[in-house]
Amino acid sequence: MSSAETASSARRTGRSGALIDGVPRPGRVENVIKAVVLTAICAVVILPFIGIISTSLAPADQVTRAGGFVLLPEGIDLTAYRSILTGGVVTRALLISSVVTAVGTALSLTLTAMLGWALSRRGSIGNRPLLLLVLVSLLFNPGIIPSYLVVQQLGLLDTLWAIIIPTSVSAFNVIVVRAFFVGLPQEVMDSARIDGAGEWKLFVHMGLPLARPVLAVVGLFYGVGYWNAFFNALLYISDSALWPLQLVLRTYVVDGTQLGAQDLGPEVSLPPQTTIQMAILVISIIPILIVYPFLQRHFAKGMLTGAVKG
Amino acid sequence: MSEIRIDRRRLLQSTLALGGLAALGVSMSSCSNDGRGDGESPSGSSGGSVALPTYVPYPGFTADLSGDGLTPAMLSYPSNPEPVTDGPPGDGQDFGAFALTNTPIPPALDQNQFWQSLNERLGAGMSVSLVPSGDFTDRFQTTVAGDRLPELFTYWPKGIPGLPSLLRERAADLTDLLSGDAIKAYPFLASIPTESWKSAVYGGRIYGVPIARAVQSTVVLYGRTDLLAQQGIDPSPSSWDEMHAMFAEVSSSNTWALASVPMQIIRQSFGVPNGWSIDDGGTWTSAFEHEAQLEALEAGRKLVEDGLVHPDTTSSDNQQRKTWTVAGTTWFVEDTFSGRPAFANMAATPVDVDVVLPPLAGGGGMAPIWLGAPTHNLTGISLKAGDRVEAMLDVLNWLSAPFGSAEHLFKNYGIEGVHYDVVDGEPVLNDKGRSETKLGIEYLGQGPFVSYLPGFPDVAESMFEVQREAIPTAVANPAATLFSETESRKGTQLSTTMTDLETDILQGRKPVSAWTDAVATWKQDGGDAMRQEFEQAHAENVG
Repeated sequence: MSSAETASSARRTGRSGALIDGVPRPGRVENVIKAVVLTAICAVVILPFIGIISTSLAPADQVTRAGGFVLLPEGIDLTAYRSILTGGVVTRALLISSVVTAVGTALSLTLTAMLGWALSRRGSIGNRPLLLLVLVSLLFNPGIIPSYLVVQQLGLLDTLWAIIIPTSVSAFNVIVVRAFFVGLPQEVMDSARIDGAGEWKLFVHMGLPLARPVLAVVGLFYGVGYWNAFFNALLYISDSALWPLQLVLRTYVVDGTQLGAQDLGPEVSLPPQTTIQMAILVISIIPILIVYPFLQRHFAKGMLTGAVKG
Repeated sequence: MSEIRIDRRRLLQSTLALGGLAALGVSMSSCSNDGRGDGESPSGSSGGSVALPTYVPYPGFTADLSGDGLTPAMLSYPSNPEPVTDGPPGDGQDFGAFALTNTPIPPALDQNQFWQSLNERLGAGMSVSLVPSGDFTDRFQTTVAGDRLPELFTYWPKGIPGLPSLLRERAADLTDLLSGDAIKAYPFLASIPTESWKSAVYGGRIYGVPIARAVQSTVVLYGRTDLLAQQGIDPSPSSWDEMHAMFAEVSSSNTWALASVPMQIIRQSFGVPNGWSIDDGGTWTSAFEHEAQLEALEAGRKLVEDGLVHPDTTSSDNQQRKTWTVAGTTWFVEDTFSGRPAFANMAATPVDVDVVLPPLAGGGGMAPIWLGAPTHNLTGISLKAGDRVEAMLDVLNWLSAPFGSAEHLFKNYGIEGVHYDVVDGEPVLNDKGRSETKLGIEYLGQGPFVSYLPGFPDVAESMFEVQREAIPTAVANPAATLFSETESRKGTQLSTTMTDLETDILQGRKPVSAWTDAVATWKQDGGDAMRQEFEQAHAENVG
């Protein structure tokens, strides 16, 4: 190892005690301040989560005494979860939401990738007008009633397609995917073409594999979107047996009048509304929390796509 | 493939029709319904007065506690309820219902024993399209635009732009079947108070069956009487200053007197009218522009300034505020008479909560409290029901069966042993009952409201006594049963602006004097138009 390399290594590791990558090594006080600040920031993020989970599990009496939120439950009480899951409505809605999210995300990704690819290929027929059409949809909203009438005349009312098809393509996501495809080196495409690849083959064997990070991110956007959506279901699905999870849970949060407490007798003590609301939050975020780690490694890379190239 | 093709003409027609109805409040001649009259005023009342259904209290029901204008109260559920109908109502054909709900949705028909049993008793299959009340307007307007209203549909008496025209185009005119003595063919509907039927009249015709409310929707101030007794405080101040002093006495570093600024109570104390008032000359004055508003706002602002109101009040909801009060973090909270039962279930050991009636601000006795709206919602019958209108009214009549009947017991509690158990003689819903019975049928058809708190007869009695004391002098909102097109289109927006300003004033962000300028803007932006429309509608109804 040369002396220059040794010095460089020492700077990086900070073994000389003065510099780390050319930056002065922080002093003890500075480190303590940073630790305190970072701990405070972490606490601000984590404490609400702990509060949500704790409140959903805390005994009713403790929640009432605390006037709402509880940070450390005195015991574990699953009454709130039991009252939500009674009757099978929530479990059925969970299944429906899972199907809608899976099918919707697959459909959205397929359409978005194809549209993004088509719009990225210079010289494709109607490229510019089509791009303009996509951009226009970012600026103008069709409104509730015209959208409803279109969905009705497509025969989608009271089917799960009504909550998938109208939101299956997001112009924003198309622009992100298109930006990625535009950024692919033309030489790579040219060499594939020389080897005999047609447009379809280029898309399937070159474009899609290279776009995996951006598709993971866009897929996550779509997935979370489908999972959280409730408004279209409210408008388009009159049979509440087909309602997705978020809409069902919303009736507990928004309309929950103590589950009809006026009809109850003295023997019945329902969980406080806050406990039910927190249990609902937990139920609704668990699936997304499970999926997130699997997509996280693509996330940072994917998010940068299109950030410097529009 | 023609059935899924977008029909451009139909799309345009539907959009224009709805937009036209909403924006102009006029009928579309292209789809008019012959025989329903012509155009109308913005008040929706140009058709002249109509004979309201005759009020005939159902003779088979006697309340434990009753009084003129008061909510009848039952101290226990009658034992061995008998049926009051002979067999299924209606015509035995299936029908649909577009129903409001305030509770979590019930299991689907195939998993819902209550629903299946209800269909057996109705002698027909009832499909229910449930609409959370908070999302009602969007859902109602799209359903109307798509012409998909089922045979029975619930709607709010206000807040839907162009409602009179919309009803004329989509709903059956029930006047001939319900007006005057004709109502006697439906005895349970005939027991609905006359005041509530006023909300069902649009353009001089009857377009729905009301779900009656009034006294139980009245907002009052609840106080923790147990805690007050421990402190030796008598919660019956004789002036606003004394009331303020009482709030100050119970507040400390971690306890606040009030869960929110009780503006309704303060306004009652200072003599602000309930929404609108009419003077002897017939001129309408809005509560916003009443001279006592500024004093009331100043009194509210002072409560916040003196630290007597929970600091998180602006970000809390009513449920949260009640939780604070049950926990003793706050001692007083505003809620309706019908909100009282929920207190009973909020703590393992029920706490003592009672109504504290406001005094006149300057002293001299109890202030008149504000009576709630007489109608919660209405149920209309779609024109598509065709010649089944009478059958649908028969179904609504069945659903309105009186308290203490076998039909009422089933409708509210389901089947004994399955949905409810009898505890100390009272029906008590179990988990299955709480889940399966929430079909929204209580907002489709319901007899007169009866105050009943199973297991708490003393509370029911005390609530009744409060009503006996306060209701005779209570003031009603004269606009409660009148429709104003401007109010339906801009009412929420205008009142939200005023409420936001009220919050700013109470929190000390704006001076009380800012209210005067805001009222001038309010009048210009729609307040005066509302006044005109209410005056017109009122004159037509009275005349």
